[in-house]
Amino acid sequence: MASRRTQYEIFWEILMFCKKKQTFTAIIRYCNLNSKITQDYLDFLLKKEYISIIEHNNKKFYLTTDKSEEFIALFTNLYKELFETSLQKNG
Amino acid sequence: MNAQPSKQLNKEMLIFLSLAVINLLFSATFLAIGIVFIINNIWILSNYDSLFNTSVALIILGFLFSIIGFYWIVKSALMMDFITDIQWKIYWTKKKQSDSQITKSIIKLIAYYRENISQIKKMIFISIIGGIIFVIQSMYYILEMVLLYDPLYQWPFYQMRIISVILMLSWGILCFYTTNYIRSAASIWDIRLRKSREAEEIIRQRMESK
Repeated sequence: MASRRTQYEIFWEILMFCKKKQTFTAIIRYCNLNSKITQDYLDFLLKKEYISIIEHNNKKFYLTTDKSEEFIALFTNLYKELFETSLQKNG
Repeated sequence: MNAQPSKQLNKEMLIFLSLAVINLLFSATFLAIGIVFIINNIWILSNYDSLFNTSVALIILGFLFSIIGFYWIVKSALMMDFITDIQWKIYWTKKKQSDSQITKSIIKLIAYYRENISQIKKMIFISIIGGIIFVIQSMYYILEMVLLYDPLYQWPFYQMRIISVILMLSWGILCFYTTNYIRSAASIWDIRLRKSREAEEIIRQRMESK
């Protein structure tokens, strides 16, 4: 069924997935995105140095960098907080 | 992330699942009523010369009921499929559920709620209306059974009727109870959506400052 993720939720998914080196096609498939959007997101993450490109056997792979840990931690904490705040509201 | 959010996540998925089940049953009832209207009136229609009578109206109504019922069955089944899909994934990784797996499930649910908020509100409304209809109908049958009781009624007619009324009443009350629970869950998800927008703003500012 259709669902709508925000760009930051997709960034988080890409970064978590690329903790092990991944190909462009694998990212498209895992994040369920089209190639153009995936390329835009990867370009953004590359610009921010949150991911890097490594080449192996003439194949291009994407790998999450240490710099992205800050974003991942911030995102996870905020979402965790968001869930816990709602829990308190729920009683 | 500790065990509590994970437990709460499972609980809330069960709430959404029950909403889907209630709607699935109501839409199936709607579809069945539609089919009964069509079947019961088609043979009456064949005995009339004129095409303009109540049977035609009931057949049209039957088709309308069937289409709406079928459409809503599909919608409810898709919701059920989405929730059970996440539940299965959580079930298989239950023992080693990490922060990232729980966060992924939260993202999935928030994204789902964000996209389907109007449908979920409609489903809650349908559950309330359905609950009211079932309670009123069972009350009507109880009154009818009490007022028009005939000692000549034989088994299993009367007993079967009592069982069906009890089932109908229980179903109506269950819908009321569940819907109230679902409504409070939906209001929590509304808060979550608002807070996720605030969280996003914090992330955006932090990313831009780097």
